[in-house]
Amino acid sequence: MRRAVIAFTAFLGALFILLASPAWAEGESLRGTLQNQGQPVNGVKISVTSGDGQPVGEATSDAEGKWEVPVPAAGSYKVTLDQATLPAGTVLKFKDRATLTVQVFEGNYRNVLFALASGDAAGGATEPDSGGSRSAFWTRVAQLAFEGLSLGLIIALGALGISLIFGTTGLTNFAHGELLTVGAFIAFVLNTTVGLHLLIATPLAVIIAAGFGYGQERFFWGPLRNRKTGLVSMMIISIGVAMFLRYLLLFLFGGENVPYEQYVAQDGIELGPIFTTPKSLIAMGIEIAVLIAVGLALTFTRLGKATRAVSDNPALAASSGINVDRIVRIVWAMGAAVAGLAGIMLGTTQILNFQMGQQILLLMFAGVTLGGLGTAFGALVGSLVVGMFVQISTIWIAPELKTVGALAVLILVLLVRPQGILGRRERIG
Amino acid sequence: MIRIAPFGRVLAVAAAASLALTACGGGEETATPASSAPAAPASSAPAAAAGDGVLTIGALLPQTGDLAFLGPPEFAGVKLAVKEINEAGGVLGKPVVEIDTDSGDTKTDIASQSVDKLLQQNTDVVIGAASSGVSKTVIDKITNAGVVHFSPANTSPEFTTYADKGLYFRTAPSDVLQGRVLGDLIVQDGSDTVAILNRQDSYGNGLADEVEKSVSGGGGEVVVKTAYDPAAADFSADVAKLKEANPKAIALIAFNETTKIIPELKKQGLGPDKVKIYFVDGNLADYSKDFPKGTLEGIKGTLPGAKSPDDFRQKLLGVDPALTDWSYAPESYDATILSALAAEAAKSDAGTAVASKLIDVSKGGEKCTDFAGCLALLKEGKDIDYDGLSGPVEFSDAGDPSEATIGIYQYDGENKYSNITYLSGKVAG
Repeated sequence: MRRAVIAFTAFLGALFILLASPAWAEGESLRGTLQNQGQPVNGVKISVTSGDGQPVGEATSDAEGKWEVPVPAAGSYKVTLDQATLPAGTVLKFKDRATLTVQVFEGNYRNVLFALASGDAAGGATEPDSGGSRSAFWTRVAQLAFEGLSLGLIIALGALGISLIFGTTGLTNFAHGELLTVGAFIAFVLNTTVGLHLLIATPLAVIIAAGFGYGQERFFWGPLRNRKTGLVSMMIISIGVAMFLRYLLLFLFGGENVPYEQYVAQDGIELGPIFTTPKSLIAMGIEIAVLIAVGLALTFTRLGKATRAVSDNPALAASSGINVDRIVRIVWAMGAAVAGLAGIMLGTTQILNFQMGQQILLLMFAGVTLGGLGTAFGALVGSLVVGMFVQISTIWIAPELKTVGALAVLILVLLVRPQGILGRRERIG
Repeated sequence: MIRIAPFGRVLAVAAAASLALTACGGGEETATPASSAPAAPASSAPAAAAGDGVLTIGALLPQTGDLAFLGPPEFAGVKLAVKEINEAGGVLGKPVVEIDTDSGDTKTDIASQSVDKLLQQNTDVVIGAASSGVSKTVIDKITNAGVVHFSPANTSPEFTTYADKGLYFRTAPSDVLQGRVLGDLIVQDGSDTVAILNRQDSYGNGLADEVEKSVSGGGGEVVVKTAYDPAAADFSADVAKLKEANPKAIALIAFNETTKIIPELKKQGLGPDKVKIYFVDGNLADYSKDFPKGTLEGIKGTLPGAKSPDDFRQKLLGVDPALTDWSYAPESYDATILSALAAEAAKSDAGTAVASKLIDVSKGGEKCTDFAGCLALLKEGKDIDYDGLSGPVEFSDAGDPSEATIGIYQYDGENKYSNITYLSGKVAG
């Protein structure tokens, strides 16, 4: 009986001691985890004082590197890490941040981070990659040059069509961006709805895109030209066509970003200083091959020579026996096919969206103008310059302004060479 | 000279007229239309304080554009609230009229046209928009017409101090709170070097600033903070800039550009397996159809709003059986219920009258949690305090919720997110 009473009293006493421990406001505390390269750091003393210097509490990090100091109320606190208690070989990454002023909010705990690094107390943190910032800079330049090439090639594919169509018909086709989008979405339908692998869907979509281009010229632009519609009117019409196609795609496929079935979010591979994906490399390979093939065809085949002849002077070409209408239709079919391919490549390396063509239309025009209106090779060079400049300029200007940089280059070049890089001066008289 | 035949001219006129007519009649009415309300243009001077007797709620929420994924749950929230209000007898003895319109995104002018349409139909309360950027483009137009602008999802801190004539309210907490929680989460996970990549708009810049404040306040360091142009063709240069700074964590403040940025991050070796990536309410969505399995595994994110109760989800499914996402549905529901209660308390449906009572019904009085219960209390002449599904909803004088809950979520191997924990806090202090 007596023993029971003692036991009960002891129990009560223990309960009293438990309850008497400081009753802090619910939840408000400062806490954190000390780690050095993923390893917990224990035995480090951390003290907390209130804003006006009154001590509030102390804690020592445990085996998991965790520490917590409850605080009486919301407010501003000074948290100090005692650097003398850091284990040998571990120092604060930023020496001047041994004391942090931290705001604690009502009813919440607040996490505090002391960044630690390996090193000795005298010499400060020995960064494993000191001097790394310089190499990081050059890595970035290399990466941006590579991205510039990648973007430039896509722009070039689109610009080729704009340039040839302008050369042969004089039309500035503002609906050319939508030819990219249409091509990309034809492949999307073949890929997802029909269920073909992207490698099969791509050539099919390019053929359908060519048919779309041919049909556009055969039944729309050709008749308009035959009715002697002015070039400015046709340009305005092309803006209308662009909007019609864009919102038709929005209606059919919605405004969301959609991916193809294959090759989505591939892991990066490292090639020297450059990170890329297998799909980007293959896409670039295809783009270069197509550009070279088109270039060779323009230079050496009868059809290519005829195209350039029409581009130079349609009346003269017609009088020398070239069927101008046929050439123009072939140019439209080719232009739409190449643009469709560019759209598919853009959709594979980026993502599909009804605005994807419109987003690079301005860059395509910049490329065409920079290279010299109406010259296929000029469009190629101009596009690569624009692509490179868009990406590399972000070293000096904020990335959200990158397109502005490319357009500034366009203005500067045209001030010096109004006919563009490879363009010829307009003949007067 | 091109001559259009008379018949052709008639056709053209008819086509133009039908276009114009469909544009005007686009808003679909989902409840009994206004009785014999005079169709006075409400866009000019502030509406007369008397109102027309019918509380007209205009939903200005995304059906298209960057935030289209947020649209369905928000519309469902409004619809469910209107349904319950009308089942309980409506407001001022008449059923509430709901008009649905599209807010589009900042790239289009849809929101402004939708607002014109809503104002012409004597809307008293506009529920929307989801995007802070969109709200900013229409807030002047709405508040100048004496109509309440009530957003369920705007989180930009700018609106707290905006000169809104006391007519702007929101049920989503200012990003001051979300930024604080996200920064604290990043610090808690032990990342001392943090990169922030944000959309260049009112929402992105505001949240990025708050995250930066919170990270550096907790002892971490923001090594790079980059805004990107949402309409850019690709984001490789933006990511290369992050890469150069070699961060341990990335806060990605984006809308659906996320589907383009994540592959780019993976490509350049900054994927979720290499660095810690954090999402926010703008991009915390179900990506199971967009990426291969495991792409987003481990990514964490924050989303304002308490857990929506299961029976609420069931009721929402009754309104829209296709729902899969629940973001901002409780906030939309609460906004609608609060507007109806304020109109009832003010004994008027006019926008200015509703606004004058909104703060009153949100706090200080007898607690109630649904429309029927609150209405009964109001009819007894009691002061009420509506506690909603999104939280206690106590408006500050600026029309912001002064207390809110932020959920912390994590992605699994299926690219779907699930909740880890909820944190509540006061926005101020």
